[in-house]
Amino acid sequence: MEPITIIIQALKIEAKMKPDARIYVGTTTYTYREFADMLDQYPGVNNHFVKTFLSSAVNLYNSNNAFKRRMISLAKEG
Amino acid sequence: MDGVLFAPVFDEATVYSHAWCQALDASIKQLHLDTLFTGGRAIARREAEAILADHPTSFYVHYGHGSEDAHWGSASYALIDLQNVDRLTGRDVYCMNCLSAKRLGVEAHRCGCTAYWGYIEVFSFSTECPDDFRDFANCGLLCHLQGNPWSRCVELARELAATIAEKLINAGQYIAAILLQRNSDALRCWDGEAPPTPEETWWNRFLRWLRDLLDRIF
Repeated sequence: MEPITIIIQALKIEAKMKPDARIYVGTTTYTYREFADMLDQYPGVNNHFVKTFLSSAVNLYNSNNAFKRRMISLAKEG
Repeated sequence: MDGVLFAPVFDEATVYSHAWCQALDASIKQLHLDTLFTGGRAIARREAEAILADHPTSFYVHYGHGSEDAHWGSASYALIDLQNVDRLTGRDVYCMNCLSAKRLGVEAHRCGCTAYWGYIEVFSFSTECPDDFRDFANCGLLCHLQGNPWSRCVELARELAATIAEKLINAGQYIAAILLQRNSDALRCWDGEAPPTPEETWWNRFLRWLRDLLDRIF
């Protein structure tokens, strides 16, 4: 699986565990549940924030072994 | 007065930024520096300009909503934008707002602000751990006021972001860790060295030509 597929899968599981936590993005706010729905649209996602978020996530995945291990482990639960 | 701080409140997100700026103000005061804090409500442009005129050498802080070309005082008007960016001349400018380092910061640097700390992307945070985002947002100015040059403050802020991200990863707060990393990636400080000049598109050239034309007519 591609890193981005693993990350999206893992983050959807995290969002499911805390659906009402919120993300503030400038003047916009999303619950984790709403954000997971946006991630689900990848690669067709048109939102600049989601694109840059996923780009930072992939950088973190490639540079941080703990993050990478936990993403893989969480994605397997899905 | 050593510093003037502006933290307008006019929606849910600015309730957080206001609280973070209050914490920053309290930390600055612990360093025995004088500050003037204005916030907790919408702030009028005229009010901000009057405060800046009264304190011409104070550092300037804005926490709240920003855009590429403005620091917002309310949902509909800016405290600082490209029309009055010269009010930042000769000051250190420290922002926790979206995008303003991208264009306004470049222009402020061109107008002679001594340092401009801000972000070239939207600043985002999670309600899971707002205090961690506050600590990241506030650390740069506090490092500088303790004697570090701005370039070192950027390094320290990025190191802090990495440390906090590690803690969040260990706590299973992955979305928050990524948001923090993303803010760290978007952090810029223009001080001394000229910021990169954005490549001008034909559309921007047309808009500039149109603005100049309207200025000449009116």
